[in-house]
Amino acid sequence: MALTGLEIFKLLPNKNCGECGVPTCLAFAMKLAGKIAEPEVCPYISDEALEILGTAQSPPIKKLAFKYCSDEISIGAETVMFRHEKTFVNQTLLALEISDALNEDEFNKELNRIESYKFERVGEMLEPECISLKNESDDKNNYLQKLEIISSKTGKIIILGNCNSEMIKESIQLVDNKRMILNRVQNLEETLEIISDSQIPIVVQAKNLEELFVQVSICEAQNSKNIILSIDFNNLNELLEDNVYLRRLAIKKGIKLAGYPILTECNDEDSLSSTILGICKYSSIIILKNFTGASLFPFLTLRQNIFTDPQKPLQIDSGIYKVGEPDENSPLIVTTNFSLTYFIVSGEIENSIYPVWLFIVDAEGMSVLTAWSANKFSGEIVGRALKNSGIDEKINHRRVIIPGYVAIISGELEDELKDWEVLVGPQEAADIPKYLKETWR
Amino acid sequence: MEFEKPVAEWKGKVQEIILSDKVIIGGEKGFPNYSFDEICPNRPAIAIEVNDVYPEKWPDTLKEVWDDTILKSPVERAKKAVEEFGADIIFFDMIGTHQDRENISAAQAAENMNSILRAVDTPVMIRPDGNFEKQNKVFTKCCELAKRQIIIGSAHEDNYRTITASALASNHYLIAEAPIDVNIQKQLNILITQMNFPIERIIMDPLTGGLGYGFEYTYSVMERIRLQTFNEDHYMIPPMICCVGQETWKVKEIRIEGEEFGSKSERGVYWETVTAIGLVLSGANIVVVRHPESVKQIKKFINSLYK
Repeated sequence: MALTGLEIFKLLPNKNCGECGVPTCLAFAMKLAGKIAEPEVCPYISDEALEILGTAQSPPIKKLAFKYCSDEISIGAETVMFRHEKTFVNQTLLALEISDALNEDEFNKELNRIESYKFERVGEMLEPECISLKNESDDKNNYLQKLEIISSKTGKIIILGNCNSEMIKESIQLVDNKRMILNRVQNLEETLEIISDSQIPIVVQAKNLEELFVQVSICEAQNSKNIILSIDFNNLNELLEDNVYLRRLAIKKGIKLAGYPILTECNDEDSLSSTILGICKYSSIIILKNFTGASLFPFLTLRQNIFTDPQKPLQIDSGIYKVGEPDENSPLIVTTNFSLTYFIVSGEIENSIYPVWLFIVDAEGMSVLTAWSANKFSGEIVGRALKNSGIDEKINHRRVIIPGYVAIISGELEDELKDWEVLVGPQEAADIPKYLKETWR
Repeated sequence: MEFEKPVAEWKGKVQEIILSDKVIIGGEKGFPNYSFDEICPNRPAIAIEVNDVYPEKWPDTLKEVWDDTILKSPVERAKKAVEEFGADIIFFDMIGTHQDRENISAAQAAENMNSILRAVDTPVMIRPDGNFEKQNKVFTKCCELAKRQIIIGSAHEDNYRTITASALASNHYLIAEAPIDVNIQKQLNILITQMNFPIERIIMDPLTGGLGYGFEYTYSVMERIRLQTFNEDHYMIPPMICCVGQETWKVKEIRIEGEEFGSKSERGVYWETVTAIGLVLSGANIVVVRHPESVKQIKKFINSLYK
């Protein structure tokens, strides 16, 4: 459980030396409580205090960090049951499975297919971050050769599946330990021994929660701290129950054995359902066996949605957007950068027969009426943004359509934009197709 | 290793509605689908959308599975939806009543509705389109002339009186639609019940954002509504419906070309299915979809979830 500022203050040396950057220990304690400072910054803090603070201040679900392409990426560190309570922190990683039993040609082809799955949506690149290399050949040299190919050809995190101890011993020499996970190891005790000096995360597998906690205890006893939990399931009811119970035990009950990220391995048949359930309900990594672009694109979009921070109004970048293929005679419509507004307006424009230039004004993520009353969508602001946008090079006409709700700004906007004509559009986005049909020529 | 199962306690219950012998929705005594906590007696139901006019805006891949001659006849569509595609409920979306479209009259709309009611034996929901004035005319006629009990939508915060009075007079169910907003939803439910309409006959439509288009807002609003239900808020007990098809088959992501995106027809089905399943997880009791393959996939999901 998190400590209060005063509780933390009692653990500090009370020297008020100021070496941590704030004048008093009390002020420093408050910063620690607010999680905006690290306890190690205090040069005089006792080891005992560090340990108490470390366990008390760390999130109930352990955070594991990986090297991914040239970046770092994390899983775990979650703090809530429902996203609206605060936010889900680290998004579910998707892993695509590949078998080492494929011959080299097939293997490379499959790897290229996996690498081709990259989708851009609302300014973000979406792709599966992991490859699960499953040992099916039981041929060490073959496995290592395939591992080498993945390691050199991609920047993805590699999940080593079903390996014996010999394979693991050599694999960890071959691949950057910061981008690997060991899954379904053939011999847990031996593997723990092999990786004892490293930070490599190991997946602990079990048939049910009781068995899982026994396995986790074994790992913890061997001083292995980077653990990932995985429970086999026969149906989605079991998957949901296990994931919800684990999250509750970790967050609500403070059970340490449950405080690790969860990995879900889909079966061949229920890939679709278990992936959706896993993304919505607490899986940190999902291994998919069947996948095409047609399924991955919606999965990644679902993940993008679920892991959006609900505390921040969702904004999109301001600027000029094309809806359809507009030309120099196409209408120009302005609205705010609140993403729901953008989605609805662009959706309705798509429902009309007109391609349109949609100009998005930075209104701090507010909807049209709210932005106007907060003075973020005034004639002056819209006018200035339009003048600096370069839109006049893309269109021949000088007409701009504003939302009906802010008809009141049209005068001010006309003052700002000399020789432009300001047209007042409909109040509701749903009426845009009709409006364009009737007025635009 | 022994441990105490962290079963959560929930107070309250979602209203159970018996729409027909076979279709019963709601009734969960705990968070939706958490049958390990509490009894969830009824599976979510799947409704298929049928229109009163030919849906020319549908993508070709969707039109093809239905066949154009079928799509031109509302009755044939409803039959196919039930007999071949396995719909639990028909959602009769009367887009043709809109005054700027075919402007189908209230009397004609009621006749269209009755031909559907005769053609299938499943529960039927109806929803006219158009301005409030036009919608109100259709509400009145349909409620009055319906050959059996129907579910009529949608009451809005700004337009709930006529529809509520009509549904009350002829003993129908009512859909109450709020714009992805917990407080407005509750307010609307209160307004409707203040007209003596029983809360037990309301179905809430929290308004669906398609996947990638506000989906997460709906998802969280539904979770918040249900947490309120289980905090014994009597005004938040109605079951929920999500109109998924109409939001997913218009997104640009199912129309773009590119090898990495996979086949277009498959992608449309996935977009609809992923949205629908996500919303079932956040508490939808009815999802309305368009593609038969989506129906299959959602049913498969529900069967596995309710094992």
